[in-house]
Amino acid sequence: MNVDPQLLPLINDLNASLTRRQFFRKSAMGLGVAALSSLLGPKALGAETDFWRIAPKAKRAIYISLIGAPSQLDLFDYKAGLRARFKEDLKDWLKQQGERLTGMTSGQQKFPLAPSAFKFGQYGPGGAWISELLPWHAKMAGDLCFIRSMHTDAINHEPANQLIYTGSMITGKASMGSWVSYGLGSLNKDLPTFVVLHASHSSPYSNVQAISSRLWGSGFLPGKYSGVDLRAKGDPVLYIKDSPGISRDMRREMIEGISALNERSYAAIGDPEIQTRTQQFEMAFRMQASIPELTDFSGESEKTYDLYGADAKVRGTFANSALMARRLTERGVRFVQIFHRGWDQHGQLPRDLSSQCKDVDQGCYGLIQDLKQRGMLEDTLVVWGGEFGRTVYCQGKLEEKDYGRDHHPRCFTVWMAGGGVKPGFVYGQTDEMSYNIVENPVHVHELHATMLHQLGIDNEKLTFTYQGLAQKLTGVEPAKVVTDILA
Amino acid sequence: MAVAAVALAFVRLAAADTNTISYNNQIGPILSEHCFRCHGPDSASRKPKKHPLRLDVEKYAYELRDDGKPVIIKGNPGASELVRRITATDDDVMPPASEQKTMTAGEIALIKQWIAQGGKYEKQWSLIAPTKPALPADGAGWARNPIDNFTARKMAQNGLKPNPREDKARLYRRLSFDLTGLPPNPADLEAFVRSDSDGAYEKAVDRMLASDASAEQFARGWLDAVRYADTQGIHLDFARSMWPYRDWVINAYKSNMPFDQFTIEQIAGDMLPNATDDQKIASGYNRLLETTSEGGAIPEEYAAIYAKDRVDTTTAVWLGLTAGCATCHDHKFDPISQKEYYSLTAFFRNNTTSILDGPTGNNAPLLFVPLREDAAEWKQLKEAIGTTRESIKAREKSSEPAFQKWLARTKARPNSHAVKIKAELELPLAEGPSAGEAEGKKIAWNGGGTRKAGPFGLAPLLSGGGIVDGATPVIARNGQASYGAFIYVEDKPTGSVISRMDASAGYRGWDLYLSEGRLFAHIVDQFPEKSLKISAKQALSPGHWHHVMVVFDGRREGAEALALYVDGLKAEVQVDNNSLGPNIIANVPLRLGGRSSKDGPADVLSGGSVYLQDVRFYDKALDGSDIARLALGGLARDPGMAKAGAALEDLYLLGYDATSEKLETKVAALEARQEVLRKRGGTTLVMEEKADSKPKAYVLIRGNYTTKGDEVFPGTPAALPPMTSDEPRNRLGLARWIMSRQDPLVARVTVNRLWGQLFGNGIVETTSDFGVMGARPTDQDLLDWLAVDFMDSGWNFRHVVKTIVMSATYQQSDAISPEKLERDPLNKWLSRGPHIRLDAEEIRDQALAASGLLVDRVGGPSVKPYQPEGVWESVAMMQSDTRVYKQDTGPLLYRRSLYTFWKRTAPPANMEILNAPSRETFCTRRDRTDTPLQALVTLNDTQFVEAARHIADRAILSATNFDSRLDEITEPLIARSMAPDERAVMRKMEQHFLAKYEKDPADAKALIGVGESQIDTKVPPAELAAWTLVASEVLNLDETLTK
Repeated sequence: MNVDPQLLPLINDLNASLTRRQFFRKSAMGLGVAALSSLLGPKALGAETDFWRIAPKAKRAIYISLIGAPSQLDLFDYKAGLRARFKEDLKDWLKQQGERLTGMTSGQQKFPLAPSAFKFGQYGPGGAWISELLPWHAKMAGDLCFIRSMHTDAINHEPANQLIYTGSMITGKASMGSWVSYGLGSLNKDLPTFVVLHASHSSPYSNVQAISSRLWGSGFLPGKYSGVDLRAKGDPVLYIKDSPGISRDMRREMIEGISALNERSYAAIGDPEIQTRTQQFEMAFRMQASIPELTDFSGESEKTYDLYGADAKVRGTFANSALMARRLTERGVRFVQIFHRGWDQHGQLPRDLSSQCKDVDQGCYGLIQDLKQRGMLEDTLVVWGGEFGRTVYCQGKLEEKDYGRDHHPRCFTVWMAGGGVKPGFVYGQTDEMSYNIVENPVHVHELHATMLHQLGIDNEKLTFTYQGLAQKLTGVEPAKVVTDILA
Repeated sequence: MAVAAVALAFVRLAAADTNTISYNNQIGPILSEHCFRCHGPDSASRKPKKHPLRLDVEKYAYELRDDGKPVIIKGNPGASELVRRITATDDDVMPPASEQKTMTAGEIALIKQWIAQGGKYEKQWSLIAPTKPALPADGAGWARNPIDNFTARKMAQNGLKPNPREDKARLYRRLSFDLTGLPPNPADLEAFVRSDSDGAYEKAVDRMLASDASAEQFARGWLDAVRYADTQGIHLDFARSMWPYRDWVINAYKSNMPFDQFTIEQIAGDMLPNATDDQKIASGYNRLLETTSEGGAIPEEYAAIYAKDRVDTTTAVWLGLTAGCATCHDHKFDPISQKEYYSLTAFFRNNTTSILDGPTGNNAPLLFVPLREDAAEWKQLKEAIGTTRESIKAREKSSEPAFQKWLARTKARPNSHAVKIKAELELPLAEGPSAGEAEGKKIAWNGGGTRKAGPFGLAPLLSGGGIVDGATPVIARNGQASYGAFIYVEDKPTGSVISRMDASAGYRGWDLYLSEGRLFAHIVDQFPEKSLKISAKQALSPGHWHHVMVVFDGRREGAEALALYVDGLKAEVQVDNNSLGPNIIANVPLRLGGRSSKDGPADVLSGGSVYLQDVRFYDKALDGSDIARLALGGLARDPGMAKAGAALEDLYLLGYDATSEKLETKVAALEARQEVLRKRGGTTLVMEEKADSKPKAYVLIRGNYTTKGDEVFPGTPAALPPMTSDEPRNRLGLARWIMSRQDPLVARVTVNRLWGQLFGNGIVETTSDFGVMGARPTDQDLLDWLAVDFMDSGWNFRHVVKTIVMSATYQQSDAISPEKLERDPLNKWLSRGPHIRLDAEEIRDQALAASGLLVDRVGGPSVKPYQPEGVWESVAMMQSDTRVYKQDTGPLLYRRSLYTFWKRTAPPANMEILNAPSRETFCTRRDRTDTPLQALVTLNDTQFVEAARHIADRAILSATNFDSRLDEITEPLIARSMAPDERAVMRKMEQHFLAKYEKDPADAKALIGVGESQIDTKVPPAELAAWTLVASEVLNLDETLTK
């Protein structure tokens, strides 16, 4: 068959994109370049035609997701005045606030105020408050940009996680990482574009919330954009390991055989998708070689381990995942998301939050310093945060050193680093209770818009038509980029 | 340059017929893309605010504007404001720059031409009821049925000619996958290829369509659409028993249930008059959605989410409407207002299900359903139990006089309670010394103080846990025993009543025990891990004499071995421990009122008083009538019991009336059998309408459940034919309305989805969006013909499937010439057969079928085949009952993939990688992408490697030479034998691998050890291993993975 070889990848992609409904509709009117590029993905056409592209500050991103919602009151949003108001019943005050309460505390008779049990200090040029639970964060405060005025629409985990990781509380949307894959394509040939890590948590008491692949799935976007789990248990990538008794040479011969026989089918049938499929087998073979290389940490120096801490040598810990995130981004993975669960402190917060912080503190430090030392931090955007905040009032029993906090959607803290955001900066302000935002609110959609902006994507323009609507990560209403925090 | 080549091909196609401009085909899509966001159905966003302009409805588009003219002047594009605005070069231009949309010159020209031709609107094509179009003359000599006349016309219009008929074997394989989801059976294939008969193909179609496999295949597609799964899906993601619904769907396809009935029973089966169990099971459709048990979840919020999910799914699956777009505002493009949307939700907001699930995935209402193979027996049992119970009642009535006579006699003769069988041990504890008899020897109890009047005289108070001298009744592990007494309690005593148990040796032995007045029976090897323990659900009522008996039958399984009788009747018990060890004999004395330990009595009764009389021990398991008589003998004399005449009569019948006894025994046997069936059956979630309230809902402003707007009642969108006035405004009415012959959508949507399953693309590509923003049909006449034919056939689904596969269009070869690739890369005009990758389930089922591992069983609970470790654990909550994946063993590993347990938050890994949906939301068409992870599944998944070994084994055993063996492998998988050049590749591989495995036998052993099934073959390991890889190679060919 005489097809221009230049055309083949394009046609292959076209076939692969059969599911994209716009194709039929738009083709009836003739395809504009813009429409075509939205069909084929940016890689096929080159950057100049990607109309959603803007000058990027970051080439890649690492999102550290603390599932369960870390308490802003005990980590970053210090309220000195609360200590004196220990146990004050906020019942009437809460009524004036008009916020919904979850099913877990709506029946409480009293809503006693629970000041943080922890000591705080101010660090970095921006004077960020950081709790004693995060000493390594204190050390790197000069690298971080805190947004203390995040807010969300959801008050329970499931919808809140979906909102912050897929842009909508409704199931079926595309995850943030898949949007980035879709918009920017891959930077490498042998590894997935979007990789998900699940870090273990060490406390047996942690209240562990469920997560599911919908938080890193591709939703309505084609399946190839969904996040690939790099697992801490068993094979790092599902089915990556050949069955016992098969050598690399044998596998190579099999893949070559498949290619040869498929080529014959292609000659007979002429469907370019046959070649696409052959390419997947070849890429699978390359991945089988690149994944062991990726997961082999023997080349990492002791100096590096000093940054991340000894935990980094134990597979699956947060520190180990953080180091893996660096290795992944170094090898051209676009988007890495680390999930760490167990941050839902409804009771015994001081005990459990301490343990959670211990899990992640030095790993975060190591990651930022490591990226910095390798010159990667400037074009790698790192984001750290949960799905909502926690209440100033106590859930359950209240003692000075023992209390719990319920879900709170109206304010929480997220930090960012690298990728063109202001280092050593604190943004946004909450009221004396860390209950309402009084200055510079940032909605989840705006966080997304800002992240996409730094990655070189205009969030208003990167769309995918599904169910009759030009879907966007940032939803229907325009979401503004938080330019105040940009360097 | 590459772009231009592809784009050009489409421009050429699009320009094909431009004589009369059609609003629906040409203008509507331009206006909806560029104008309707501000000038469309959504009243809230319509502009300009002062005098909103609406262009989607003819009436409004021609309204006079401020300048006294409409924006469109019919026949005069030059004078039309609309044209001026879309061609403006200044700020007046439409759409405005802020919309970032620009009309092309071609689009502007079309609009001008349309206005010049009169600017006529048409209703959205999909909302006009289909009529059967006339058959085109095209396709003469080629067409096999009307489908082909339509496709031939489109091909001719687009300069295409049909492909020749597909190679017979390839066609048969395609048919087999499409109709059954399985590869063809080699014998059937060969017969078909050899047959010259014209009717052979049709016969094959009919045979396949009638098979169980076909029902399973079409059921699977439906389960995608309605998002069937085995867990809740949200948060805790508890397991949910829903498989009877899946069985119902399979049965429906098997019996070719008419699609209208299929629809009505699912949407409202529970509301049909005298709804059968099957219809209630079908109503489980309404329960398939994702639900939550999350602790903090707010019921109001989820009530809104659930109603929305149900409406979105129902409208998408049956009507192809994206109604969900009207959740927050009027639909931007389609005629569904927000109010209409919430009126639809009202249909689903009047059911008895509690909103939040509680700590289980099985939220009531539930229905018990026996296994498919037990269904007939279950029904018979239910009937038999009913009639037997009636007979018992009748017998009771007729025996009344006899009972009264017996009662009078018994009261008059105090010692007439004798039982025919002899006890091993009898200790009357009535008057005089506390002596008795055991195996003919005298025994005596030394305890007891205060006495109380009992049925047979003064009974002693138990105190101190004294020994019964000379008594050593033995219960053997596999033996039988019955022991008990008459007992009288005051307050809430705790402690052992009768025991031969060693508290200092792990409580070995047996006893009858009281805990705060509640009866327990223990048979113990080591407590608690090797013991049986049951307890009565009700405490003994204090202040009365009761008869109590424990019956042990060591030959029965688990807790079945132990029963407790109170007042002559089997008591309701809970099973506390259920795993008895082998050693239960304790060489300690028999005690009353306590247990034995090293230091004397232990667990002595306290907290209340217990009097005892007529202690008995039998070395056999007494039956119900024996126990009834024992109980009656005493109870009939107790003044407290005299009141409870009915209870005595029951006992009398049980104990002395042979007819009643026989009937009771019969009921007991039937119920025992029912219990067996119940255990292996399961429950399913069903829908149930509230009887005492009418459905209603509120408009939720911006979709937010906390901001309620107007109250609304069930209603259907005005743009569709109205519900007739005699239909009830509830789910049943809704279901019938959807299936009304006037509905323009349902038949089209259904045949289109089927078309998409068979050809890879629907005639309307957006299978769940037939609205303005959805794709246009590539051939509306074809779609309408199929839709009307479907309705005319009486909604006969199988008829439509058959019509499609009988067409010449379907039977074309799938080869793509370079010319066709350029002209029609996506096969819109159907000038070739489909060439598409198999679905995930088909790929796995093919490997199972070809290897002979496939277990041919239909229906039943979901199964858990191989899955890599940690897939569930890495996402699940500690409290979830689907946190740890416990793989099944044996035949359950090899069921068809539609029976695989579907955990929504972590779907079966190999299925998900191959694009199976998560079943969280409705899916009317699967994504089909190519990724390297898919290659890894078919290369490395245990299931595929194990299947390859079985395929290899069979091939080796069936022939001695290389070529025949290879044929054995390829024929079931690709329906052909390989050509010489292909054989050369395979041959070389086989030789290399054989040499390697002969050198490294350990590697060979390792490879053929993959999978649970045993290696039970005479084939040498090296040969089997080498051929396993040959089979694996064939399993991974494009030809194998596609149809």
